[in-house]
Amino acid sequence: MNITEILIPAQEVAWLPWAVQYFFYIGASYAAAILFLVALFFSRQTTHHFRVALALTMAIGAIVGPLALTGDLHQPGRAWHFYFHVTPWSWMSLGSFFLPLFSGLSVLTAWLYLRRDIAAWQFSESPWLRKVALLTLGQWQSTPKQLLMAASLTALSGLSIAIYTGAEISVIASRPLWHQPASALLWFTSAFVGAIGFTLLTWTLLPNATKPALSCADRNIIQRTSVIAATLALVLVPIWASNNPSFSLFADPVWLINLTLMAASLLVCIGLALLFGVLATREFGVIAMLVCSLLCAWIIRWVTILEVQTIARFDVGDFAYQLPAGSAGWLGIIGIFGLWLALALIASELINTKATAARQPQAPQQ
Amino acid sequence: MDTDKRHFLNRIAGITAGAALIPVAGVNTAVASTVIRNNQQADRKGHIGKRYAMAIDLRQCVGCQACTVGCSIENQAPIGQFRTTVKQYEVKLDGKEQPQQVKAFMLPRLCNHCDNPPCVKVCPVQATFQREDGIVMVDNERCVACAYCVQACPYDARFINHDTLTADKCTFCAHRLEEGLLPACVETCVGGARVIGDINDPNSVISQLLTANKDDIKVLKPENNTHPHVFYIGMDERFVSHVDGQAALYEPVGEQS
Repeated sequence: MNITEILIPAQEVAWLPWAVQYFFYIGASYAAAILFLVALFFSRQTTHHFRVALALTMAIGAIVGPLALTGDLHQPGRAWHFYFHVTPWSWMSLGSFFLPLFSGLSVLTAWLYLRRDIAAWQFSESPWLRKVALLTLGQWQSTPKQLLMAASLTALSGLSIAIYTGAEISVIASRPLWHQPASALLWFTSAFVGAIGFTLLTWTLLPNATKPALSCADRNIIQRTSVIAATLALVLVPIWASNNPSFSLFADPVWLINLTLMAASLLVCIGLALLFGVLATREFGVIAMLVCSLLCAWIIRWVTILEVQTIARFDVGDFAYQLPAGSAGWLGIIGIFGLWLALALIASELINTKATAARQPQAPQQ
Repeated sequence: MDTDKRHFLNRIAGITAGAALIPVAGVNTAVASTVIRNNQQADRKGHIGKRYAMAIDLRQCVGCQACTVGCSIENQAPIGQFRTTVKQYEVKLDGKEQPQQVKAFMLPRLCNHCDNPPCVKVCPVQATFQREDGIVMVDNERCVACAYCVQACPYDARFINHDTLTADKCTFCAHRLEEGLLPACVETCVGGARVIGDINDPNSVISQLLTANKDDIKVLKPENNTHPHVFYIGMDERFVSHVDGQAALYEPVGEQS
């Protein structure tokens, strides 16, 4: 018996690139929250600028990610319904409580960490720029204990985001590629690759005048995080891909390209991370590492979230998806990245170079 | 010793009673096997005591798409989006006869109004619910259009309506049933292939039809454990779970609003 489809309406992609963007930014954010806590523990060995980059990656991702998420609601004006009709048996509803908590804690932790840098603006020559120091909200000193407490809570809250985002999609039994622990683990591990990319990007944006080179501990954190996270993700890719009962992803030419892209980008990240000791001393080396890390985290999310939706659940498929030019497509992706970049550029200027030069060393006393 | 024992038992009893007060919501989330219907409010009950279902006698379906058109006119789904439609296939039979036998296979599709609806339990704002009579509905004034239910439905029965920008699906024309009318697709079916009714009533036409054909009834994707309530008579098992064949040239939906 030979079956040919004659009249089959195509099934649309229901989660738009907004969802990919949310997973991209929030993943980098919660992974940075965990890495920030690690860097804080080793505050004698890590540099202040590296920790600033981690704190900003955490806070900016926690602001930009939720904005991308509301874009995925076709009724963003009704987001308040989440709080008016609480539904504890739906992971998405639980997420609507975890997410603002994480965003709030991330911004709070980053602000606590940056308060001393912000306060230094009171010595600025410009009377207007002196007002930036008001952002410290008072003259009180934030203690290392407060900071450690806030960073620990943020890291815990970050884990709640990792769990809910993974579980939210993994419970969808209608899509076998999502309905497996490997999908959640793949997002969790690759989130650290994305975090390294964004942290290096933020670090590159920090004012150069007084920026010390990455310390040995900084490089170790970057190198080990990238190697461990990317290797685990690389192991997970074939496990994840083998769970599609309707056809073998390995035998499908389109999917073979997708899987090769995922694996190759992870391999490149591992390779660059292993060479990071050499690359870290050159600007192009850092840029190559950050670009590859960001691309890798993006490709993994694009394939596992968006491309998976083009697989037909009943029909022969697949339902090809073309990225539109408008706000649901390219414009939205560029716009949200532009917002991230704008926030990073503004926030990185908070590190007042003159004041920073005046007080060395920078590490908070533990 | 006895007093101690009594205290101990008392304490156990206290703990057990306390356990009943622990919200089970978290457990539901973790296990995700409990049937959620979200129909506590009085206006979400429907016809209590009935269980609506549809039988589709594929031997009667000629693939004229009158149901598709009837539904589109009744429910005003946007162009290119369908609450129900008839999927059509060309089937070349095995065998040595020349010329080779080629047949058409029609598969009317709509929401299955499952007894274990995966779409209802994922909805984060309880906008989608299942009435006591089995009909799965969407409160599109509450829906945030997160498309979680669209993803959860294994039957591609749901979509985000391009006009209302909320989740949309077949309602068995609940608004017509309430007025004593048949759903638009049943009304327009030229072959009488679609039969709707109350399967709790053994004398209903659908109950009698299902009893008469009890050896030839199939549902879509039974392995998903959703307990669908659209029953197909005369269905080939190759169309039950996943179609294995040549893909159609899928018609692009056009510019999205």
